[in-house]
Order: sequence, then C-alpha cells, then structure tokens
Amino acid sequence: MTQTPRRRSEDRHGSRKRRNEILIIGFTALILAGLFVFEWHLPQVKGKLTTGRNIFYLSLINLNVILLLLMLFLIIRNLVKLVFERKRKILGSKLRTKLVTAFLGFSLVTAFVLFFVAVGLITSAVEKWFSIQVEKSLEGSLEVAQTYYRDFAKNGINHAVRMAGWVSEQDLMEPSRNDLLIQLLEKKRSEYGLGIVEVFSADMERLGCVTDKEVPGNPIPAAPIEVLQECLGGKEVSKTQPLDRGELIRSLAPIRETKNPEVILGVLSASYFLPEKLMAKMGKISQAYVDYTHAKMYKGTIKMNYLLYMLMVTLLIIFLATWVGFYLAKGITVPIQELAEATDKVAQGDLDFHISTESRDEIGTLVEAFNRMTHDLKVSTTEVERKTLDLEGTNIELFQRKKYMEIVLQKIATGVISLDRDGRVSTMNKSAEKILDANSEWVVGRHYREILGPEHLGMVKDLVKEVRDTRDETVEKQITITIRDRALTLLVHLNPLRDEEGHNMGMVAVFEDLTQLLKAQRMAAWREVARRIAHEIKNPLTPIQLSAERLRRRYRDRFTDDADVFDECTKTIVREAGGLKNMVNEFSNFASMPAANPVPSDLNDIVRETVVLYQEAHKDIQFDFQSGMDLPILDLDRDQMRRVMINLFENAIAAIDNGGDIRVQTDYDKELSMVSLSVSDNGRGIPEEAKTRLFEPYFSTKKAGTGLGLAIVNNIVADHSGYIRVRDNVPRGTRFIIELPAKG
Amino acid sequence: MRRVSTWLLLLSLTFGSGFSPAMAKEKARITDVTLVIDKGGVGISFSVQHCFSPKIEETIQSGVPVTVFFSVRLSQTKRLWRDRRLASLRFARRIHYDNLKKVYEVFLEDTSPAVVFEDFSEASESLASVDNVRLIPRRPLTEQATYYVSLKAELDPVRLPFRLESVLFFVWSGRRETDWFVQRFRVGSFVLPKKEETQ
Repeated sequence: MTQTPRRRSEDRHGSRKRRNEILIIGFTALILAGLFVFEWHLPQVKGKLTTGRNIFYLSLINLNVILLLLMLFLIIRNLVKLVFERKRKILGSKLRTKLVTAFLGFSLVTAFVLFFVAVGLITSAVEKWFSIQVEKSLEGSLEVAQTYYRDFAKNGINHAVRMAGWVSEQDLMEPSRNDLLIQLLEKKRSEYGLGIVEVFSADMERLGCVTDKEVPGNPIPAAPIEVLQECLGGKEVSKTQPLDRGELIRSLAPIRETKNPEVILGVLSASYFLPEKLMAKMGKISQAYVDYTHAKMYKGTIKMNYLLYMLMVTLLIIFLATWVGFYLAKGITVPIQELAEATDKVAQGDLDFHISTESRDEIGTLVEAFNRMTHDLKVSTTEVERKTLDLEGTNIELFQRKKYMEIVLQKIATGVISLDRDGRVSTMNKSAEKILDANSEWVVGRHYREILGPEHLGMVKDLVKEVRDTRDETVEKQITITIRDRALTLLVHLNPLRDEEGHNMGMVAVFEDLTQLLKAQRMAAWREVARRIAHEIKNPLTPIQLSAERLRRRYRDRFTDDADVFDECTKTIVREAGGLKNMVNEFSNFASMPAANPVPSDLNDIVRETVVLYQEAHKDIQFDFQSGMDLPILDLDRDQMRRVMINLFENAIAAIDNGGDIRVQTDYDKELSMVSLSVSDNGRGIPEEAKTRLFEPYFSTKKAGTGLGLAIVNNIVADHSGYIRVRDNVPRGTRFIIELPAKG
Repeated sequence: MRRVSTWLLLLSLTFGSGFSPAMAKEKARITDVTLVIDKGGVGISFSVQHCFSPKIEETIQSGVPVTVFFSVRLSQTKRLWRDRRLASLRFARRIHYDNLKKVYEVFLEDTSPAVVFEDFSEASESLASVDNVRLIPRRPLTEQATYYVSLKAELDPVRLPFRLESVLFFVWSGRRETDWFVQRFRVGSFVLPKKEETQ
C-alpha cells in the first residue's frame, strides 16, 4: 500500500518529534544525574544531613533546576523561533512578538519592582534580626549569666578562705574535734547559703562534709584530685563540677596553720549548688547567644540566599509571563494563521476546509463564524452550481435552438436581414449575402444608411416609411435593383418586429431572388411566342417566296415599261420573304434550342478557331486572344460554344464603329475550380438600364438586331451550368464574362 | 638478621616544603607523624597543622561545638592486586567554648570528661595532637611485605543555627579536611613517604 505525500510528511514529523522528545528526556536525565552527583559531593551537602533528607532536598532543588532550565530552553527556543518567523514574515509573528513583548515588559517591570521591594524588605528584616539592640541584649543576658558564675566563684572563695581561717584558729582539723568541725561547717553553710562545705586533709582525705538537702546525689562526689593538689599547693581554686541534676561551683581555699601560714593543713571546699532548672535557663541564654553570633556570621549569606530565592521567583514570574505571552499569542495567532490558510483554500475553491478549534473566546467565535460562512458558501455554491448547470442546460438548449434557427436561416434560399430599432443590421443570412453579394461581417452592426448607396437608399427608405406609415404587419413589394452591374428582381417582405408589449424591436426583411425565375418564365414565354410565330409565319412565307419567283419568271418578260419595277418588286418580295424566313428560322432555332451535348473539349481551341475565323473576315479589327495556362478540359458542346463565341463577337463588332480592339481572355481559378472566358471590346458600350434586360429575348440595342443573340448565349451558358455577366470595359466598351465550372 | 620486634622507629617527619606559606596557612595537613612499628602493630602519633581555618575558629569562639574526625588505616601493598586493608580506626574529637564559664572544653574521647582550657591555642593543640594511636592488624606484620599507614583528619560540617541548613542548603558549613597522608614502611626498615597522597 502506498502512502500519500501528506501522510509521509506527518509520519516524518511525528518521528522527528518523538526523537526530539527522547533526546530532551535523555538530556534532562543526564543533567539530573550530573547535578545529583555534583551536589552529593558538595562539602555543604556531604554528611550534613541524613541521606533521605539529602535526597529529598536534592530532588526538590534539581527538579526546580530542571524545570527552570527546561523553561529557559523552551523560552529561548520560542524567542529564536519568533525572531526567525518575524524575519521570514510569517503571518501572526508580529502579533505574537507584540504580545510576548507586552507580557515580558509588563512582567519585567512588575517583577523587578517587586524584587527590589522584597530585597529592601529582606535587607531591612535581616538588619533588624542582627541589630545592635538584639546583640546588646543577648550580650547583656550572657554577661548576667557569666557574672552569676563569676560571683558564685568569688563568693565561694571568700567564704572558703574565711571558713578555712576559722577551722585553723579553732584547731578543728584534729580528729577529736571533728564534731565541732561539722557543726561549724553546717552553721556557716547555712549562714552563707552554700550547697556543700567540705574539709580535706593534706592527704586529700575528706574530714568533714555538710550538704544542703537540696543537693542531689548520695554520696557527694569528691573534689577532683588535681584541683585539690593545686589548692594544697597554696592556691585558691574555683572549679565547676557536674552533678546528676545540677552543677557545683567549687571554691577551694587552703587551710593554713595559724602560727605558720606557710604550712597547709588541708583544704576547705565551699560549693554552691546550681540546680538543673537554673542551669537550663543559663544554658538557653548561652545557646541563644551562640546561635545569634553563629547566625550573624552568616548574615551576608542569609541575605544573599533570600535574595537568590527572590531572584529565582522573579525569574520564574518573568518566564511564566513570557510563557503565558507565548501561550496567549499562540491562542490568537494560530487560529489567525489557520484562518489565513483557510481563506487561501477557500479562495482556491476548497470549501470543505474546516478549522477545528477548542477555544470558546472571541477567536473561537470567529473561527466558528468562518466555518459557518464556509459551510453557507458551500451550500450557496452548490446551489449556484446546480442553477448554473440548469442554466447551462437552458443555454445549451437555447444555443441549439438558435443554432438551428441560424442553420435554417443560413440554409434557406430566401434572404433574411433583420434590423434593430435603430436601423442597424442585426443578422444577415447566407442567402442574403449571396443574393446581395455582400459580406455579412462588414454589414452586421452597421446602420442601413451607412451600407446602402444612394441609388438603393431611397428605395429602402420608402419601404421603411411605408412600413411605419401603414402599420401593417407585412409590406410586400417586388423591386428591381442593380448590384454590381447585375440586375436583380427581388420580392421583399418587410415585417416590423414588436415584443409582447408592442414595443418596437426593429424589423426583418425577407426577400426572394426572382430574377432567374422571371427570366425563365420570360424565356419560356418567348419561346412559345417564337414557336408560334415561326409556325404561323413560316408556313405562308414559302408559298409567298415561290409565288414571287414564279411571277418573276413568268411575267418579267411581259412587262416592258415596268419590267424593272416588276423585277425589283419581285426581287424585294423574294428577298424579304427570304429575310423573314431567316428571321423565322432564328425564332425557330431559339424556340427549339437543342439540348446540349457536352464532350470533353478544350475551350482554348474553340475560342482560337472562332478568333481565327473572325480575324480573317474583319481585318480592320484587332483580335487579341490571351489563352489561360493549365486550362482544364471541360465538358462542352463545341457547336453551342462556338455559337456563343460568334454571338459575342457579332455584338462586339457591331459595337465597334471604325476599327477597334476585341480582346478575348481565358483563365482558370484553381481555388474556385472555375474557368472564365471574357470578351471585351472598346466599342460604344451598353447603357446601364439596358444591362438588366440584355439577356432577355428580343431585347436589342441594335436596330437590325433580333434580340436573340445574347438570349441564346445566356441559354447555352446556363445549359453548361455557367453564368454570364456584363461589365463596362475600362476605359470604354463592354466586357462579357462567362464562368464555367471545371469538372470535379 | 636483626630482630624486628625490637625495632623502634621513631619518625618525625614534617612536610610542607612544597607548599607556599600562604597555602600552608590555609590548608590543613597532617604533620609530625611518628610511627612505632613492630610485628604486633603500629603506634601512630601525629598532629594536624592549621586544623581550624579563621572562619572555623570564629565559629568555635561563638560557642558552636566543632568535631574533628581522624581516620587512620593500615594497609599492605600488593603488586598485582588491590592493596589489602589490615586495620582501620576512625575516632572523633570535639571542641566547645563554654561562653558562660569562658573556657574551652576538649572532648578527646566520647566517654571521657572534657579537658578544660582557658586558652584557645592550647585547646586546639590538644585536639589536633593525636598521641600513640595503635593499630593492630588482623594478621601479624612480616618483614617481606611493604605496608603503609594512611592518615586523614576532617572537620565535621558545622550545623547552622535555627535549622537554617534546611533553607540555606548551599551555604558553606565549614567542611575542611586534610589530604590523605601516606607513610610506607617495612618491618625493620622504613620507606620515606611521598609527601601527601590522595587515596
């Protein structure tokens, strides 16, 4: 199964994303492990706390570090991406830049204001913690405690010295006076408020000991030997000694002999007992001072740490603000990008494009509106397409009908020309073009006044006026016009065009070319006349001629005086009867023109034979024959064609007065497959009005002409499927042009 | 062959010739090492020079108790194998300034009472001087083998006041230690040490 390019692209994108994710996870794990190893070996961490707490703290710290790094990475990545997108002018990058900049700027200002305020507050608070007042009060407390100790020691020494004097004076070191010693010690202990009073001999043997009942411990621990030894050395010593629930402040003084103070008899120890509660209180004072001075050593560090935390929080706020900026910008620009893409797609005609959004805000509303619009557009487009299809069907039908009508118009033999209400030609069919020998491309769109010459314009104006005046539905008229030396007889039907409400839409002229029909009718009529005349006249002519000859032969000799008259008259009768006979023969020939018998012939040969014949007979006339090259062999009736040439030459010779030129020319038009034969002279020429009737029988411009020559020529040419026209020769004379179709 | 058991080697070796005075001032190091070697074991005496930095000293003066751990190891050198540890000892000493009585208490052993000093230098010297610590190996030392003792002193990190270590996690807490001092020897002779090594 093959994948589509889009699917392949998505797969590539997905695998790249997965690879990136794996790389990021691996990189993060590596950093995490590295951080753990590094931090674990930090002197500050190593051995300071329990392993569990260390792991907990390190996990928290590293999590924060990783998150911070990750956020930093993402933000830098997005910022770089944004810069590149801005350079590439990707849609939405400007808006995203603005939003991110706004958020970043706002967060920077607020976060740094907060940061500096917090820094000030922290600095102030830390300074207050370690203020002179606090320090002084702690020092004062400590000094009180120290003084307490010092005073106890000092008083103890005084009491010990005093009591040692009394013991020496009363000689109480003697074993026999031990009771008195105890009494004295008890009395003085009670008097001085001492906890324990002891007397040691020079051998460090305890000779007497009195104890306050509040002093715990039984027996009372002896004084340290080194202290006793020091005292026996003559020094007054004060030492503290811990007890179970308190502490003793021992003050030792040597007991000197009264008479000789250099002799030391023993040691008197006067001890104050410090109860546990008091010690605890003094211990708290001491610990508070220790903690304070210790913490004071870290004053700068503490401040710096708090500032570091504040900086981290500030950075976090800034990063979060930037991230939120990106997020919000994404929420706006991505739908806008999608909208832009969707607009392109819609512009390209893809109305199935749908933008998916989960946003419920204004952007979401916009996207939904766009989707709705696209859907509506699709519905409308579908409807329009459907209607367009219907319309196209209708148009095709109309077009077919129009085409059909045009074909009908083009194919009908009747000429049709329509004018709009301004008189401009709207349509002109082929038949009209052919009949009027006009080019419809030139004619259509022009006003009829512009098209028609002055000789025809009046006629048409009259017709139009008649239509308007009479308000008839149809004006029918037979007109005869000459177009390019060609007389045409047309039956014109002029119909005004009106819509259903009767508004003028122009008019349509339908005309039929009756020229050939009339000619044929006339020809048929003339043939009938000729046949009857020939029949009626020819029959009596022969007896008249024979009778006149008989009269001449029999009675010419009988007339003496009038013999010449008789002879002349009979001759005239015979001659005129012969002339009439010839004329009747001509009529008869015309009436009973034999059907053409065409055989393959060379037109040039026929023409050349006739030219040679006439050249010999008419020396005074210059015959010029220009035979066309590559003239094809035509199916011609040689006799009839020769007759055509004779008739044309006869007409030309008759038109030339004294000498002249007769030019004969044959030519072949390969494109039209038409052979043309023209006979031109430089004679008198033919009047314009005679041209229309020139080929009619018995129409002649000559006095002695029968008017059948050109009619016969026309008949023969028509029998050969040809056409004959008459033109004025330039500079003078007449020119007959015969066009004969070539074979195939 | 001489009787090794009667040999007493007193070595008083002072190192530091390779260090600048400034560095020597700052860096704690083992010095004045004396070994008493016999087949039964090794008696070691040494002291730590510049045991306390000014900062630690300040900390001690403020009344914070400071503990120093001493590590002593006896190992046998192996040519093609990892060196064999024969005996090791780790013990702690603590110094504390009693600001009520204005005396320095040095706890040389866990159970023994504190030795009280009124002068800090005396107290610190007492703490930094280790006298005749004896290492008894699991098997008797032989003359054929080469042995070495490794010494190290390290200051236990000072706990911050008010449990600030929970907040000021990365605050310097006075951790300080010497490099490992290594002294090679044989029973009946000794090998000059290669200064201080890190193990």
